[in-house]
Amino acid sequence: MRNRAAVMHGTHDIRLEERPVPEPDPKEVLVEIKAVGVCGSDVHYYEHGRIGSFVVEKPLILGHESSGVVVDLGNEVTKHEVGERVTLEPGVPCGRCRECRAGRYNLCPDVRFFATPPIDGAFANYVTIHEDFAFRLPDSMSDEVGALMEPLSVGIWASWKARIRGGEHVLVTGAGPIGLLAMRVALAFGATEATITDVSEERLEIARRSGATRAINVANEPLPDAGVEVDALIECSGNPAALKDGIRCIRPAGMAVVVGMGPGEETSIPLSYIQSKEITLTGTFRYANTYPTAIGLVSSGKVSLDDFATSHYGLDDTEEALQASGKDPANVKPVVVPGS
Amino acid sequence: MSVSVVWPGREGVEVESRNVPSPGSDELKVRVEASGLCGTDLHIASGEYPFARPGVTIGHEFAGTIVEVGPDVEGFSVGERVVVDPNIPCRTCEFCHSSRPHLCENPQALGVTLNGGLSEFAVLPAPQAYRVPEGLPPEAAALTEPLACTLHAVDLGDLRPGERALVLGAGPIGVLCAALLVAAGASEVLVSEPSRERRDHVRKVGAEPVEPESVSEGMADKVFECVGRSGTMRDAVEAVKPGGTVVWVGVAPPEAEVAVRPYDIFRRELTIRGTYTNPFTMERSLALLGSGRIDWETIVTHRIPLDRFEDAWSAHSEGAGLKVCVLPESS
Repeated sequence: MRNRAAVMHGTHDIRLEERPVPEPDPKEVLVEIKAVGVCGSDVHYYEHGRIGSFVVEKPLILGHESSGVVVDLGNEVTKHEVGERVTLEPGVPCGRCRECRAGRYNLCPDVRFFATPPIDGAFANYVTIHEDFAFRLPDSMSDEVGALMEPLSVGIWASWKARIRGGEHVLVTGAGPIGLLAMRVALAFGATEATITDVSEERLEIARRSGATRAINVANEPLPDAGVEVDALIECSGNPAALKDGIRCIRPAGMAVVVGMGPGEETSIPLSYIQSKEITLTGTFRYANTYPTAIGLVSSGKVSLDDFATSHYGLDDTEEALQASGKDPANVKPVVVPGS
Repeated sequence: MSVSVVWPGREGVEVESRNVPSPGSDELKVRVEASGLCGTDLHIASGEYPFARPGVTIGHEFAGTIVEVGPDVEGFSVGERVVVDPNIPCRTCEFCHSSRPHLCENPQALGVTLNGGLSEFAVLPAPQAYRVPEGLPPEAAALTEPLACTLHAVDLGDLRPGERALVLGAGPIGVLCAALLVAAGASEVLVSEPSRERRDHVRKVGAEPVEPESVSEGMADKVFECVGRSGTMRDAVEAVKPGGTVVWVGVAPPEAEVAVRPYDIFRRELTIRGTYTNPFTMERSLALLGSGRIDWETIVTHRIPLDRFEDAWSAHSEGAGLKVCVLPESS
């Protein structure tokens, strides 16, 4: 067994290196990675070396949207067997703190999350993970779709937070991978109208094919002029104007859910609108308890991801994979296949 | 004059020709284009529904085209197609003021206390009307009210998308409930129903029919009883997972009782909820019908013109098919 890994040494500096195959702890499984999606946060670390207070100070393996096959078990593992195909929930919380005990383990201050400094991620042949955070994949689901249970979880968490109910109208601002998945989830949760915005015509076209009932290019048709009225906003662009304009589209007592990360620590929001319409505004940070739902939504056909991965790269082309979306906005979800 | 189906105040209903007046200041007059029959209509006809007013034109699931608009009405005009929320709250009692108009102390209801829609023409307060999306046929629009009632039940079940739901009974409400649960993102919707014919309807709306014998303890996160019998209400409590919610949607006879073990409710922290009518769900119900998410063609199994009302009534009384819809007189 050789464990090759794509290691980030600094901005725009990814090197393929050989690392020891990790030993699973008693409660861990060793997983041979089969597919890893490239996420915007991986790209952000690659480009800027940091996200907020998380700074890449030592060599770091990126990649946290992964699936693979269990190849070895720690001696206390009871939930998995060798040969099982699994998708990995990349954040393992402490399980003991106030937030963990309240069920919101995504807010655990001590969570160890793949590809978040200093924790290594999955652009590698082998990783270990606590057995509770590996989820068996149905035979019908491919490795790459299995890896996408992670971004799908972000969409599920956003739709849960938005309290989407049957017959509602949702506005998703930003048609990147998260926006597209959040929209698909909202539709699967019974939303009957889904309006999505972006400034890239390619991405809006993908959104139309994914079930958007209206796709608005806000470069040509600003949201305030578009006559949009919705029950919930799911902001996935990180653009301050999208948040501000999106909130003003929400009907009284509706929900605003912020998923996209803005450029600054602070932003301005239409406070009097939020007050007079009793809008609920909430952030989201990753997700909790979403993996069984994600697998259920895809295996039952409620959400199809068969067309979602847009390009594939070997481990030695990880750097190219990290640059792909920036070069071509239609290349929404590059996937690294370490075994190829 | 208008052909209307009237409950005379004794057992049965009668078809008679009666005058439907011009609308009052805030009322609309519609030409009825579709009117569904409901279990409540049978209860009224048998004299078992205490709120019904003798001499009332029955029918509370109806859609039509506006033919006359009262002088103070804003926002509606002649020729528009509307569907009707039959439940009219007083808007002044404690319950109306605390956003629970369906629990109003002094409610009125079209087709129960006020003349309804099993008729050529009907008059209704304008705030009870909702515009029908373009392209939605009348018999689909007439499903808005029963679907809205079922949607309220599903809301109260507090289903998290991705959960496993169980529906007991595949009558019209059970099938609508299953269709809504499928639309609401349940990853699995099982429907227990003894009748083979009704199990076929279940498949058509995307749910999975099961034999009642296969209902087992703790098999679903949320359970919706859509039969209205003590036995199935009890089964629902057995079938729900710990921490789950049971919604008793079916209408049981007023004197019925259900044996549940309080220890079960305690130890498994169960929630049992009742559900009554359709508060705030008409718009979403219409959006669901308009979007094609609800396969109404499976639900509406009978379309019978008003001049053959006897046929419609006997199909409905015998429980044939799912929803019996009365259309205007054949011309």
